[in-house]
Amino acid sequence: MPFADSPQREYAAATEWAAGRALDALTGAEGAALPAADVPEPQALLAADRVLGPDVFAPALLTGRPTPPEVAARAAEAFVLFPADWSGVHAWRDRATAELLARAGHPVAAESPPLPPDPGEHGWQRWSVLMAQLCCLALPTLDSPVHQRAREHPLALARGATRAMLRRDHRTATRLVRWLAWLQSVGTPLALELRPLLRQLALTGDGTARTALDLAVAERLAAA
Amino acid sequence: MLAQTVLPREPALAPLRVSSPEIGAVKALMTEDESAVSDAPLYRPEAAGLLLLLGLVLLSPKEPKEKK
Repeated sequence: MPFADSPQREYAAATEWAAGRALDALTGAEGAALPAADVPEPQALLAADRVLGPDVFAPALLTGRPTPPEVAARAAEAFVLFPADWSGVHAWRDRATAELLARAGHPVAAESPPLPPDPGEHGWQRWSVLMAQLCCLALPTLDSPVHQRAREHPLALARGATRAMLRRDHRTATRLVRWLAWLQSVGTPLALELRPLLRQLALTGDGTARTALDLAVAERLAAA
Repeated sequence: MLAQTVLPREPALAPLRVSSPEIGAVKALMTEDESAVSDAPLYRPEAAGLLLLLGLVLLSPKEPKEKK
């Protein structure tokens, strides 16, 4: 599935493919025949693993089944091929990926990112968008200052999810609902009812595998 | 076998070199922003005021006209 002149398009398509496989592993839809023509090129597949980051390990963390060694090795190779960026949002994603890689027996270099921002600094609107970008950290057994911020500000997350729903930005809404589900799973009281949100997003999703994976993770967390 | 394990090609054969546009593409995909355009209706209180004024003007009693 090569795209000659657009790495963004090629990597986006590969990310969709990889998110679909992670979703299959999470929901137990195993053994499906995959057309060889749809399989991304090796480098695009590595880019997809790099984009998914901690979500490569989401099926294992949510189902208890171990991550296949070849999947963990591929994620480690992706981490080395696409260098870490220790600034902003990427830094927290990379730190979580590095932690999960280390657990899987593939230690990679990781530094301490700066403290995540507080909703008081730039307002809950901008903060909630930032948290949506970090939603792949909303997984069991992961903990960091980003998770601490989420625990401290459930109302800001609920406002962000509500705003995204009202804007009909289902991708952002799903990512924030994933954080709300994570908060519920760790016992933090929510300012919103989760079930109607999950049901509505399941009906009105944007049709991408990445959003479907986020929603499946949120449903698993909510059921935990 | 988990569906995640399907890997028909060997990733170790990938060229271990990436260009900066490729790194930029990966970073952009990592941090998707919220959608720029919302199709939801926006609350416009000033518009409600204009509608109310228009309604009052239309519903207000008119001056009686002299019969010719």
